[in-house]
Amino acid sequence: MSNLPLSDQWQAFKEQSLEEGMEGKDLASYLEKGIRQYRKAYLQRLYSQLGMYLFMVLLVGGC
Amino acid sequence: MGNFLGELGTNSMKRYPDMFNNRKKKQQFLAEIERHQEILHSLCRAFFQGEQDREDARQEILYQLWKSYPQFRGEAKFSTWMYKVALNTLQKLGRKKQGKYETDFKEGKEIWDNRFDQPAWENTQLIAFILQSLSPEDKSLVILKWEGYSYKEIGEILGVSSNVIGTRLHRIKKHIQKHMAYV
Repeated sequence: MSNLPLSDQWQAFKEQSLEEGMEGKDLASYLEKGIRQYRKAYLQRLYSQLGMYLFMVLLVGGC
Repeated sequence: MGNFLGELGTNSMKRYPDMFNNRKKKQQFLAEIERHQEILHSLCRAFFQGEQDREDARQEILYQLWKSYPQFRGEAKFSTWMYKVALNTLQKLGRKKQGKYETDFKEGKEIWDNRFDQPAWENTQLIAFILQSLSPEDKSLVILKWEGYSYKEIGEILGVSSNVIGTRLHRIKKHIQKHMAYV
């Protein structure tokens, strides 16, 4: 086991993580995927609110 | 009805700031993130063992950073702001996967025990095991300490009183020493 202080071992861990991370997908694709998911969730919420609004309009109009 | 319409309009837009996509701003944001991407990768690796969990975490952190980017005014360093958003996101994700974390810890302990006779561990394996044995909150605290932040700065980043930081770090140190005694 190394006798390096833990803060130095953490720096080595960071460097290794960077090397591993660079082999994976690029950052832009992670961001785009995240944005797409939140956009989908937002639109679902919006449609459900619009549906509720239309229902209330029809209900009030019917009375 | 007025409140309902308000909810439909303004608040919904606040919850979804990316409706009008700004390409130039996004490129600027990604360039900044790229300069500090070791933070993103190391934190995801510190919090999650599985590659799929790490990918999900990277995606969520990047989205949260992008969402709060308009509020970043450069008063703190970009890396400090990145730690703040990323650690808060990871703590939330970590709490959701608490059950999974316990299983991972058990598996980690078994791996550790099986390798007990090995003469030397790579530095990163030891630190990975130490991190794996800590809760999401303690993990955040100790990482910031290793990054050289003061108690006051750690308190500001994690949103906890700086008075309790010393006590918690002392407890974490004892926990780490207990695990190191196995080596």
